[in-house]
Amino acid sequence: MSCERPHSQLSLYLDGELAPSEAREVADHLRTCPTCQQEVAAYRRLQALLRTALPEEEVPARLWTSIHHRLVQESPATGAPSAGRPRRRLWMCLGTLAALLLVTVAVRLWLTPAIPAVVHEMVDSQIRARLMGLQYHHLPEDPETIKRWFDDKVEFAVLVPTLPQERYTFLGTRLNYFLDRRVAEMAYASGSHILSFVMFSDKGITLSALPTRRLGSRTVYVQTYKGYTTVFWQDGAVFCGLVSDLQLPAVLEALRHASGVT
Amino acid sequence: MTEIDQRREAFAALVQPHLPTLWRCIRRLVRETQDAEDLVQETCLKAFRALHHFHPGTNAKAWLLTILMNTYRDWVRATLRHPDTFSLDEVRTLLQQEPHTQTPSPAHTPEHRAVHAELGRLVQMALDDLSPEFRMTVLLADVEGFTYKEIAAIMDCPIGTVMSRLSRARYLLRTTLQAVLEE
Repeated sequence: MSCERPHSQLSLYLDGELAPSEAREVADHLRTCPTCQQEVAAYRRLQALLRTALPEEEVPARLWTSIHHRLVQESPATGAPSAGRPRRRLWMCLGTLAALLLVTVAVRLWLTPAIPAVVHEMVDSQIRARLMGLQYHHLPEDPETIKRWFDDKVEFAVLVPTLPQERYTFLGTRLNYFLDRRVAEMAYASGSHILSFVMFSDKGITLSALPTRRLGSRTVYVQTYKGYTTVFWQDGAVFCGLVSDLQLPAVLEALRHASGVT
Repeated sequence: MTEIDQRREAFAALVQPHLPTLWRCIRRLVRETQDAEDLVQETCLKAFRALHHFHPGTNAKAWLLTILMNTYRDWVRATLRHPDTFSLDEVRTLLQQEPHTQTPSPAHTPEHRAVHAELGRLVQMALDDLSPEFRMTVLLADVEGFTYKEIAAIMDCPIGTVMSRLSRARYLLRTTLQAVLEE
């Protein structure tokens, strides 16, 4: 005997993740379906086994002592007032502040003329892919299918731009990698040009050194490098971007048309 | 009592009840006791520094586990970046940690203890066959009782990924533990 009902729905039911009306519907079904009853019983046995059979290991007695010791060491840095001489501490603070200011200015001066790493890494990855003739993964231009493709590949929910099909032909998807992180990439052809939409985690990246533009209510960061135009914007904990050999007005035009990501 | 003493005391009250959970979780991921201790220490230090981000009344266990998972991920990345400190086999098995020796929980009779320890060993082996992501997802759901949304936040992944990992992990565990489950 078999049942057409997807296993995933039973899982959601057991985990209490279904809406009340759906849960009622599954409960009604369970009363009359021996196949699903067996499935549910098997799930429950597994859960019970995991809860009861796994051996417990005692927390080492020394662990909290070591943590406490490190917290005590941490205190001066977190701003605890110490019993030191105030005058000496004031000079030390001023000295540290001056040194920090000097380092900040020097780093700023040193970094400003340079192209931020995120821009050259992204542009270089496009050039490399072209030189090596890397292909895109062909998928139907359906947001759900594209999101599913990226589901196990990147650690964030992928947004899929919907661009007017008469002007932009969807080429496919690709998992890119730069700056120690996975990058979701969706490519579109516009005439003989390629326009890639990218998404990646914002950890450790700041875009504030880039020139900005206002696009409706959104601030985007723009930069051209090696003949490529890059446009970035932040969406929660991820950066989204467009990179293309199209000129800036054409890239911004594409962004204006892109629903689903803006 | 100084301000920092009070802060440390409040932190201890917040964290200590969840130390067994942090320890249980990290021991399912990391083979060496010293590595596990370092990771929990690092987690507590990060949590202490970020204490002002924690909103009293919200789920402290989930907050600490999120920091623990981030710390673990950074540790894996750093270790893979410097593979010269590991043998090739160790690097290969880093993401597939083998089971560690654990103390069996007390039971009433020596026979019961032996059967329970054997069962525990089988379940532990089945879990260790899973990738760390699958293992943690199923443990957070079935042992720790977190919701999909909470697991997604702790594991820093979409809810869809939690669902697919959970479904796959349970399927694999049921296959591996079929004999035990049918007893």
